[in-house]
Amino acid sequence: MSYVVPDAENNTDLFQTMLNSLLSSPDTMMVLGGESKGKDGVDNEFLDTLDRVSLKELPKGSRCPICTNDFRSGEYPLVVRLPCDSRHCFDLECISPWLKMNRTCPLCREDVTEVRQKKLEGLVRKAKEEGGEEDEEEGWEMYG
Amino acid sequence: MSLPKRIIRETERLISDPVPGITAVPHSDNLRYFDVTIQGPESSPYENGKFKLELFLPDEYPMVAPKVRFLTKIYHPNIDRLGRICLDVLKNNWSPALQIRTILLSIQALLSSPNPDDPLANEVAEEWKNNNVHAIATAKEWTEKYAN
Repeated sequence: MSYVVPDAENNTDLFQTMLNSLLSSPDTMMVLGGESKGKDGVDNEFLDTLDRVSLKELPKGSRCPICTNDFRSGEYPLVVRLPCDSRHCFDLECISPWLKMNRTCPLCREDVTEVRQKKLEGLVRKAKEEGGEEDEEEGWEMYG
Repeated sequence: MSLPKRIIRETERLISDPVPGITAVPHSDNLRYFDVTIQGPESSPYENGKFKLELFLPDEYPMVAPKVRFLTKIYHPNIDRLGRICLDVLKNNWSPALQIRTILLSIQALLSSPNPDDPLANEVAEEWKNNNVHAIATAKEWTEKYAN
């Protein structure tokens, strides 16, 4: 297979277009950014299962650290918290594009997938330690 | 594309409540492009210098870091001769919770504490490590010559 190399001088526009499309491709970004983080972002399932925060829980006048708007200013505010810290809250709309590219919390730089994994493991361990049939029965009574 | 509220808010605050020793003024025809000045920190070789920088907010900001570059010539191990800055928060450690003012503060701090172990200007870094007295003298000289 041979490549036709365009004459750079006469095809600057074409070259620029090709370069731009290459640079804007997510694959390229991953290759270029691979060295720095070594990881890409989270999947949609992670975003869908983030804890939702009710506006009542948020201190008055608190703002999303990304868009810096008051959490209450939107028409249909949808605020989520990251697993690293219950105070690390963001508009879902603002945190989603960030987490799709990066796994870190913008406020503490913790890897949010690792934190969640550890929390889950902790919960499972705790359940096992406290475990036994007694607890299971108690658990069911709640729904009884 | 209209300017996001966040950028408007940041700009207003930079003007109404400026960081000591730092100015950042947007161009009237492009509100994403800022003329920046940073005063050289006290008891650094850059003391009494006034350094010009340019700062640009890409369309993706704040999902990506601002682009910042020194326009004034400066002798510093983490700043190359094109004015490009080697600073973690401008690269891998960018976070969308950071702002223009926090970035400019970091750059000011970089002038106080050069880091020759993570150099961008290799020759300067070598000189900084191997002949520190001379390197600092050169930095002072350049400050007097170019940064006023």
